[in-house]
Amino acid sequence: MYGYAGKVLFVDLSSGEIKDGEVDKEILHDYIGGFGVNARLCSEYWKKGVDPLEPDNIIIIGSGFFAGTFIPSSSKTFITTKFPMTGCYGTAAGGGSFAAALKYAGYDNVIITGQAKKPIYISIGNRVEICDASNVWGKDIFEATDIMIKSHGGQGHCSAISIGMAGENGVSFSLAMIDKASTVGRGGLGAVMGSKKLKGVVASYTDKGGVKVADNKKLAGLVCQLIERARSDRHRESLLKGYIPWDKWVEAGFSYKNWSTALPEEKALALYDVREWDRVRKRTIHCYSCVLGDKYVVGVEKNKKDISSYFSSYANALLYPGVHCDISDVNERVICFDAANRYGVDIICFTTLVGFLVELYEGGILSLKDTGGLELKLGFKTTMELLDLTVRREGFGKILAGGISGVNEAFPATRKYSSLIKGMSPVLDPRNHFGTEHLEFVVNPRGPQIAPGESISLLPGRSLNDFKRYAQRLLVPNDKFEKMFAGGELAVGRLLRYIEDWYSLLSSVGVCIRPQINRWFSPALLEKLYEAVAGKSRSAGDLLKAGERGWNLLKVLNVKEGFDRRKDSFPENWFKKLDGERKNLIWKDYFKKKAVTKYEAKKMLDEYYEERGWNIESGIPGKDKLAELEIEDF
Amino acid sequence: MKKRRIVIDFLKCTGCRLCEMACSINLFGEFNPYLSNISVMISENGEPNMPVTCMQCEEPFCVPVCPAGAFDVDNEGIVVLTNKCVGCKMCLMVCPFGNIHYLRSRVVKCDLCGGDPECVKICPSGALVYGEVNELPKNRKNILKSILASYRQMGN
Repeated sequence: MYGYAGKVLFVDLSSGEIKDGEVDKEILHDYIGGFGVNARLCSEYWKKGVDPLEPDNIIIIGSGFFAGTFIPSSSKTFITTKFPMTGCYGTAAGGGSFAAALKYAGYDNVIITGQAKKPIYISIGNRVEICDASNVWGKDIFEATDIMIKSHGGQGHCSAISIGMAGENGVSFSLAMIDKASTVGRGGLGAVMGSKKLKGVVASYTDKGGVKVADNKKLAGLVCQLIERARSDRHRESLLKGYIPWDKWVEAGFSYKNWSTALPEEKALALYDVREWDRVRKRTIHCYSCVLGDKYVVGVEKNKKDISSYFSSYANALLYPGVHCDISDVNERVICFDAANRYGVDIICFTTLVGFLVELYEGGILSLKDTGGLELKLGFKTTMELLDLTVRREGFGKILAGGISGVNEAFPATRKYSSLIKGMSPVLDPRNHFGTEHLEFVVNPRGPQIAPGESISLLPGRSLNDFKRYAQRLLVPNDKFEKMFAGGELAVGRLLRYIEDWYSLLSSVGVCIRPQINRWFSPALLEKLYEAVAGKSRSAGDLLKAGERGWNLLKVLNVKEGFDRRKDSFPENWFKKLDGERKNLIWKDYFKKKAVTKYEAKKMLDEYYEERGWNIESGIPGKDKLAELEIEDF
Repeated sequence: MKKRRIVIDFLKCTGCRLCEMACSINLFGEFNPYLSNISVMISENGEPNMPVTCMQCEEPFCVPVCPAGAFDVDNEGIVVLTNKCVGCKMCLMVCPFGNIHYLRSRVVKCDLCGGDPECVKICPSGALVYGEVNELPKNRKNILKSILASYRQMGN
């Protein structure tokens, strides 16, 4: 079949059994690939109620439908598993070149089950092997990736996913990294792989496996248009350097000191000093087939060592140590971020944990005895000490390895100070600036994930007409459109449904969701690309429905795991005032016209469920919706 | 005489590898970086990536060793492999740059797609340019000129 490699690989780590399989053509039609097919495979091989760290938990790796072709920025890898931090079945996405390499090795998906007796990694290439990982176990992600890549053909001939010590030691906010630069699996993918003694997965290019498409010429024409658009983009140069070309970003604001205070604007601007960033940035790294790379090699002059780290131009990952841990020196921030990457620690969960601990320590809720004699103060020293302790699970670190929820359990008095959604730290605070992203934090079973809810609302200053145009681009039906903008207001809950479906569709075809890239794509363009690749025509509406199907199916599985409306709750502190220069910020709607009270927030959730066709009281997909999507059997 | 070639500015290469895919789909009807006449050597630790393809040598090593006389040299000096090829692979052995390949039981060599190279059309970063070979040194000199000018300005 055009576009697919055509095979699924099953690896049982307990028995060492490796076998090939196929995915039914109908499933591929209904779910397209990547995110969607992963959800469908998950519904077949999952075990209800399993502990995420038990051998019975599955890891499904999938490549998007367009991966391996020259459609720009279509090299996303999707990994589905049950995440320890939230206990949900979720799909994580990462870049790098793994998805393409997997296809060139002849596979679309890999399903990993069981638990190895000793550390191993899986190599997929001309042969599939379970390899001894004793030479990489205990090493950091960068070293381990280098060793694995070197022993399977070298840089540019294979791609590797690897975990670090945080994953090996079961830290709840551990993740994995693809090709040293792209994070994947916020919420404990590292720990899941660690529990299976799986250090990593390597996929090598082979000359046997290639991706065929139905209409080369037509696809080349469409791709050249896209490339031309990317070349002539006025923000291209600054985006490639990792600048934030939109002036409004600083108005979106940050909260720090455990979400209690708004970060002063000059502090935010100082954290993002372009001259300093120019000094540490050595080179831009592109994911496979990407025309607008957003990963960078950064180097710190202090120890004369180049450190390759992931840095994101819009959410600005280097900002997190600056915001939550109050580290102003850029060298120290790079060192801290590099250490987190090497250990395989999620920088968002970790830095918010530091902010939380210091706030409690300074408020006298945690004592020296609690912290094992460690004095806590915002800054580089405390951050690095806590990171080391956590990853090694030493002393106080044993508690910290459970994240903020772990601290809450060990010290129940700290519970009321934590701001968590499904046990995970939010990425942003709606009291500074509110958009679809914040509601997504609440409704996503995977916890506060930014990507599936990301829209033009990420930046302040858009008009209602901008949102109307955006909704039209996502093909919102007329009657729904009227409801969405009734009374000259924006119903965020209603819009969010279409953003999620768009995310799910883009992730099924495997195109990057980053705002700077996804604005070049539209359902109408995907319709043409799909036809050129697959050789059959499908309407944009039908493709969006496939996206909706994948999203709903994953939700259905999670409902069985207990993820109904009760879990979709807002953190208490969102309804309180936020201290700071602009005194007493409160949560307002996107246009900052009226306050969002508990009543308004509840209404927003109601509208989201209604728009989704789910039961408003229970938050569970309704029978009609399931029948419409033909997934009632699950 | 005009000599149009693929001019590679490797400092601009981002390693997206779209050129390899554009070549392989053109040659074999499928996407696979291993089935390509251009290959990007991906760097390890922050050094630039290096795309390499046939240099279209003035005095090619491949042409005289071919026992079948399968190479044609056109009026722009471009070396083209014709269907007289018997697959003996002598040319692969003598090419000092490793830019002739034996793939899927056939010898393949870059012929600049008959004057409209696919790899250049797709390159988003401007690392690959199809044009007069002397343009590259000219451009480099222009860059140098502007750097020198700014130094002079600073000196003043």
